[in-house]
Amino acid sequence: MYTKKAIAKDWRRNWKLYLLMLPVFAFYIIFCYKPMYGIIIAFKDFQPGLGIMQSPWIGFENFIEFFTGNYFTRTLSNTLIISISNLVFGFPAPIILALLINEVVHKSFAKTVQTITYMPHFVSLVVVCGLIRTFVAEDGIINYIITFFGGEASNLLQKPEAFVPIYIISGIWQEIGWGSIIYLAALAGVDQELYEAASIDGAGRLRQTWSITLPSILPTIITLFILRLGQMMNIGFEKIILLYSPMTYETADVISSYTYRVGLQEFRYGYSTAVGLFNSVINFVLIFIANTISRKVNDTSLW
Amino acid sequence: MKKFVAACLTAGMLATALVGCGTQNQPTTTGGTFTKTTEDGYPVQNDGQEVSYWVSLSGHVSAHSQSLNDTKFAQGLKENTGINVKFQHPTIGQETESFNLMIASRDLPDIIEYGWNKYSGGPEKAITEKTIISLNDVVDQVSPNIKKLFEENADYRKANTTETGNIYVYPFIRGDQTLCTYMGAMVRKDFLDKAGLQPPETIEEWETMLRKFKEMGIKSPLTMRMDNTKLSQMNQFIGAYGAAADFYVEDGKVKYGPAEDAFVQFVELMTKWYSEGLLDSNFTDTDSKRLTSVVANGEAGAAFGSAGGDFGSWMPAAKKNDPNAEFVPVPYPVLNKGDRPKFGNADLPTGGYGAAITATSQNVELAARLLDYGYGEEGHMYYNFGIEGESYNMVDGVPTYTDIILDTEKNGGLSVGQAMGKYIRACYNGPFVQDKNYISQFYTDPVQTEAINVWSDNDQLKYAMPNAAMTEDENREYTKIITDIDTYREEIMYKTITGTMSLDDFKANYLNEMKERGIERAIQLKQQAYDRYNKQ
Repeated sequence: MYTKKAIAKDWRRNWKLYLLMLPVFAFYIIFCYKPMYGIIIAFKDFQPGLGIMQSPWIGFENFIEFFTGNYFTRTLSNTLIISISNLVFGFPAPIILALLINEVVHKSFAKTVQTITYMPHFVSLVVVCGLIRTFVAEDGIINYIITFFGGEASNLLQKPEAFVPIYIISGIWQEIGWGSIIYLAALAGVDQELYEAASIDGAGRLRQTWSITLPSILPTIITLFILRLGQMMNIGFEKIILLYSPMTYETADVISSYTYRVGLQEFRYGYSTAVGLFNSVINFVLIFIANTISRKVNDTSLW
Repeated sequence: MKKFVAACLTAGMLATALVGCGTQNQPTTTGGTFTKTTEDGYPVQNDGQEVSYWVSLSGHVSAHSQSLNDTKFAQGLKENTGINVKFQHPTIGQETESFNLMIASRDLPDIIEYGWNKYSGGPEKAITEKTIISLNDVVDQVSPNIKKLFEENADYRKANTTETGNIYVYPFIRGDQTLCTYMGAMVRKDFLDKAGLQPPETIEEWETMLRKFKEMGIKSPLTMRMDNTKLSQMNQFIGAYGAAADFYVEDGKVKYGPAEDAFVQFVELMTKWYSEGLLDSNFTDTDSKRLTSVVANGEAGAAFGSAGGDFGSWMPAAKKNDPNAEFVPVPYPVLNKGDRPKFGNADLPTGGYGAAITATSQNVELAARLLDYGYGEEGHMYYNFGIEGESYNMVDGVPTYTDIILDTEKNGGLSVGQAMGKYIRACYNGPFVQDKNYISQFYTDPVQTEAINVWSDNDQLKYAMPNAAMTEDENREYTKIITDIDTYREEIMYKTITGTMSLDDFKANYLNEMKERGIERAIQLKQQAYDRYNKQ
């Protein structure tokens, strides 16, 4: 199959394409694969003065410490809770928005809504967290609404039970518009004749959405869903760190924020790498499961 | 596949062999081969090699300069010492992270100024890991000023020496008792007068006062930060129950306040005050801007903070909002009227913080000469008062700052501390002995000076835990225990006070949980270090 001759021929014909691919290839080698060698410090008692190679091996000690430590169950379950809620509530939101925008008759109104909803995506995360802090503060707008309806004002960021909702809702607010763009593009490609045929058959708006629009954009939804699964455990620790406090560690402290605290603030790189590696392993397992299910159920999969 | 396994095995063996070389614990000296090449006296003759100097940028400087290099202080230091020093700074607010990243990257400057007790594994480890060098020879050969100081004050040396006898920093030293105390409580005097009360001394009087304030419509009668750092600095209210919020020594025995019953009583008190609305409901928010506005708007009747940095800006801000606003410092509270407070706020004169020379430095001698400058007569004046005729003048034998520093009109609207930041380092820290004549002028409001007297009137220093060095292994074990405990205790304390967790649960579990997390072992390790320290 791959004889020398064939390869040489292919090279002669396509060498420009290979050249084009080179930067991408280099990017992955330099920024994704080369740093992986650093993972070995998860199995070492890493001492910066000795360097990665010369630090002594300690086997699985770092892992054992994490698994038997006080924070294992808590960070793991928080990570799972936050990422699953993020998926369950965060994923459908842009689809719903896109469907709604699609139904709007006034094109200028639709465009305005679209612009307004995707603006927050471009605001820096630090600023967004500053806004959230102000909104949920004791004298902030959210509490104003709560007291208006007879509730009691309190600093919501100090309440462990309020952390996950704040995290998820603000995430939806920030990404809903941006996320809907791709669905709107898919919606634009749906054959208009299908709608005409359906309305002649007496299908109402809801029925049309359910039976025509959704099936038409289903491949897009599934592809994005799998891609999203791949990032499930990669909870942005920046946002967590900007919002949490010892008051809310109970529900807010996830594996990545714990890694950050232990690694960069307490200077235990080896241990912190072990924890991070564990996070990646779970992440990999999740993608693998999701991908397998997806392939079995509807023939769409990443590999 | 076989080849792959074989390769892995070889790699593994190779690595183990390398490890063998790496972990041999060599005695930690620079080898005693250090020889002096420069002549005595300043400026030092040299070829103008750059000496890089890493130090976090103080707020007193960042208010007007991007870097220390841009200040009069740095220019003068270069001229006086003849050494081409170049300062570099970590991002403000990320000092610890930046430091740790720098250490891991091994791209080190010649000098690093830092609190070396925070180094993972302690100062001893910093030397064995070849991050910094032992300064014994350097001090002996080319640092006559600090050598003399160490000879005169054995305690200064002891507090900055590792367990194996290596000096590791040119330390920051507070040259007088009045410089060691800087934090405490102040109460709004006008509110007190309105309520017809005297400044509180006991916990009971505090409670009466806070309740009265609440009745008068003051939103947050008491505001203070209670995170681990602030609590261990100020021992707010815990002291009254007979323990400090950190390690302390009583009758030769090391104790840890948060593992004592006193801490439980303290949390109980705070919980009560919080539920009655006497304690600022946002006390867990550590944002200093928020605290400033709470005090400045008159939302708080009593506050804990530092005389200079905090009250120095809170008091004028409060007066701007309410011309009647007046503050009165109150002593650290006690249980029974007339008792002398056992704990308060007082830092040890020195220990662990200072400038170290890195193991990769090619300019050890120049770096040492630069750092030693601050401990000589000329350098002492320079670090504390700046340039004679410009930033200070001698008045009746006392160095007195000029209007460039003290007069807001003439220095372009800077506060005294910020103006000082242009010329001197006395307003924060550095490798020199801080002079007491600085503080009396830094506090421009007589209330601040009075506050120091009131706040230091206790036995804090008698019980202070000295900076006793630990061995590498001790330090490693200790750090592991204490970081876990710190996180746990802060979380559980916040949750109990705010009512997220019930007080009964806290009382039932807290002390046991501390034991389970190994606090007894941590105390034991501290005790060992303390005993060794005393034998030296």
